[in-house]
Amino acid sequence: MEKLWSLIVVLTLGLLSASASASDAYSIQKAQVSNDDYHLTVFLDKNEFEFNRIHSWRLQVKTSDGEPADNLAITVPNGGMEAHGHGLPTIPVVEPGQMPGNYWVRGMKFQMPGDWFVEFEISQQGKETQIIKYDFFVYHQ
Amino acid sequence: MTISQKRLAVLLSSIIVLGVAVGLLAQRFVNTELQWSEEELATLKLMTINEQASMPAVNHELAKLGQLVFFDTDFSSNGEVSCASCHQPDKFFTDGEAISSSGVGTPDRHTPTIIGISESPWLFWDGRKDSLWSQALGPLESPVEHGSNRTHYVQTFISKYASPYQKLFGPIPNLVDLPDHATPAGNNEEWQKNWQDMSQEQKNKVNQVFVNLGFAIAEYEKLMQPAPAKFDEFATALVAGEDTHHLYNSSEKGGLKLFLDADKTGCINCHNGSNFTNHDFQSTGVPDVTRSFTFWDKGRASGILQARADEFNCYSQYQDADCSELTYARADDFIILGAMKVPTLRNISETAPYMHRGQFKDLDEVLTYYNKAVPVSGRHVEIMPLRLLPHELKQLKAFLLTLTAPLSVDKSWLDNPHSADSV
Repeated sequence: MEKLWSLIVVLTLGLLSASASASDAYSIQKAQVSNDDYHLTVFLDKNEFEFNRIHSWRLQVKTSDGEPADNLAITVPNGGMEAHGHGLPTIPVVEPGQMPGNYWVRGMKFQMPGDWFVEFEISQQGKETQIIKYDFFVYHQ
Repeated sequence: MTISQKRLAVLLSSIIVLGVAVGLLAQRFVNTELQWSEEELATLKLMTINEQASMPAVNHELAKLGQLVFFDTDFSSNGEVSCASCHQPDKFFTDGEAISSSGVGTPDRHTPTIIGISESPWLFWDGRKDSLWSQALGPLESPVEHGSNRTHYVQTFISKYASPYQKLFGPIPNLVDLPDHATPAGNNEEWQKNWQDMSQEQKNKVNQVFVNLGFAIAEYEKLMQPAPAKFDEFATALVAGEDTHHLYNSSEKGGLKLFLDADKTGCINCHNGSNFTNHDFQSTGVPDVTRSFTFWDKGRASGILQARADEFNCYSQYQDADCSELTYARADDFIILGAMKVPTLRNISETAPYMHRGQFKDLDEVLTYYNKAVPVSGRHVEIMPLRLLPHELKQLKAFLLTLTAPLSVDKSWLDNPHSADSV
């Protein structure tokens, strides 16, 4: 039954993404990154993300044992396209979301497809601050 | 094998080697049919325009009022300068000068085109304005451009254009006892003192009319969109899988191929999208030599601070807009020091000279600079020397020349409505 639901979700997402306008929409090829303490997943909640437009990502953070990680102070101190030697065109800001372990990454913007990266600096009371580098490929949808 | 047989073998080998070498050279210099990758086609799709899709919604009545103001020299301190003095329709809304001599003084930067500018989230070379209407107000109060002041413009606006003003914006506010010359901007202390002496209510009324003036000019400028050029015809056919042989010659195709090569030239990294700009700010290291002194223009590093402090920015009471660009813009950052707005390449062959101070008189000079660009000590410069061969530079130029097309807007919008011919 669980597999059936997974299949339905995958098919639905596939149909939704296929129906999105292909004008200047983008998607990302890899949506997850982990280290010993945290597992981060990026969600593009809307169907369409456009180049050269500011938008938000939803970031889900879980601890190493799979629990939602709340009360984190997250910043994006660095990012850009290493191959082209330029940084992000904006300074994104991370805000807590309503759901446990969810955060909004506000102010994301990409001018072109290719290999991008952002660094998430994660601070939690009683723990050492960590930087998790998230490499991803942005492509025309 | 005899000696003559050996000689023949050596001769034949030499001919074969020579043949292969000539073949390789020919392949390098002569473009055979180019193949286009999926990524290149997807990128091209984003870069092409058609007339209907590229035209934003425009209130033509407001644009008509904007046109009247755009060409009206009464909106200047000497009665000789209008927006069209520098943004000349017959020069694709540029003036052909490195630094304009058409204003009341000498500005620091080159006149950019206004064609397609309504798509840009940032205005001016340094992006110190974040809307078209707000930008339109800047040159009016600049001491080196139109050179006058806010109360003068507001009174000129409502006296000359009272009828369309009331129709578009409602009743004209009561502006009795207003000083003839007052503004919080510029460098005229007397005008600034007059502004300080005005009541807050007077200031608010004047500002609202002044903003409406900006709305009108901006609406007119929105009409100025690029028209499909030879490039669009070729790229549209290519993306659709149609025959393109008759649309582009081999040199133009080679140039486009180079343009799209993010690794070899990197042109596409900044000049992407339908206006051939990512609307971002880049530091190219172009020398900022002016007529009397040499200094490094802070560019975007200064522009973003001005935009944040601007009384007519996105956060102001005069518009209800998404202010994300202003909210999340980079500031206080080394990489934007000296960075300038990436200009459109549409109609580039007709908008010389180039760069933010008009440093290069033609496209050859621009391409030569990019081909040999060197790092600048103490500055972040985002370009690397292209190191293209002479024939590749020619191809790149041939491609750039295909980006020009006459404006498709009705000619009446390009004429001066105050000229004798238009009456």
